Amino acid sequence: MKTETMARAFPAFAVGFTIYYAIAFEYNCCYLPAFTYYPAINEFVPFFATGNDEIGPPMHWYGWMVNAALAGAALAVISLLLPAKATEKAWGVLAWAVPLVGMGAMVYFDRLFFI
Amino acid sequence: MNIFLLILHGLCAVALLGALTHQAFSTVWPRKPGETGFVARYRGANGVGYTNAIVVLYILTFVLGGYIYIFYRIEVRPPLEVLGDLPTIGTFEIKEHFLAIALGMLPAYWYFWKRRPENKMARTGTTLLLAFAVWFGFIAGHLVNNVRGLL
Repeated sequence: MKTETMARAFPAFAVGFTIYYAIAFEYNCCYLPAFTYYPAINEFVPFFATGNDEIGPPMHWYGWMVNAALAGAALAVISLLLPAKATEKAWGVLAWAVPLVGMGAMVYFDRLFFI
Repeated sequence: MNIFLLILHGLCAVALLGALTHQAFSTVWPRKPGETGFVARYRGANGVGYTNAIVVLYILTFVLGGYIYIFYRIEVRPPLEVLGDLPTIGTFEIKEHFLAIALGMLPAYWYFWKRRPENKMARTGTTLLLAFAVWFGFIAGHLVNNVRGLL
């Protein structure tokens, strides 16, 4: 595949990445993170797992990003199947509007830290 | 070693902030012919020339931050939780989300600067959002660092 064709899918990647990341954070469970990392014992566990006093706190952030990248890549491939001319304008808006809304959603999801 | 990496992370963030702010100003408030003042020269930067440097600096800063985040999780956050300093923890949480989302947007940002420069709205939107995320991350990171220093 030509580099130019691949680059055309980058805006869709941003959209897929953001949507998956926001969903994975809000509904964090099951297969949403690709893995869970335990920094206190330096161990990885596949998918979602909880922590305890023995193994320390779990970190899902890395696992969310891995799966978000896969979701972004999937949407990027789908976007290449759509007619380029007809969708180019839409991707030009969605590429920044969806991440903007995603950031707003993350602030909302984290609101309990501030009230 | 952690302190060294934290300082290196901060230095990379400063370089990234400088480049990104320069580019953002040149995008939304470009220099007009005949303007010669300091602010006009600041705005007169050739934005496209910063793009690759910004992408590289962003990834470098992000990787360093992603590594030292481990030490934040086991050494910094627990004392903050004991103290009930939820706003500081929340601010850092939002920082990590903003920067992760901005990382996902980075290929699109590059695309609109390097491959579709005629799409000014997309170029401006991705640049401003990236600049906002990096500025927020920088301030939030400093805030947490300062709060931890007070403990």
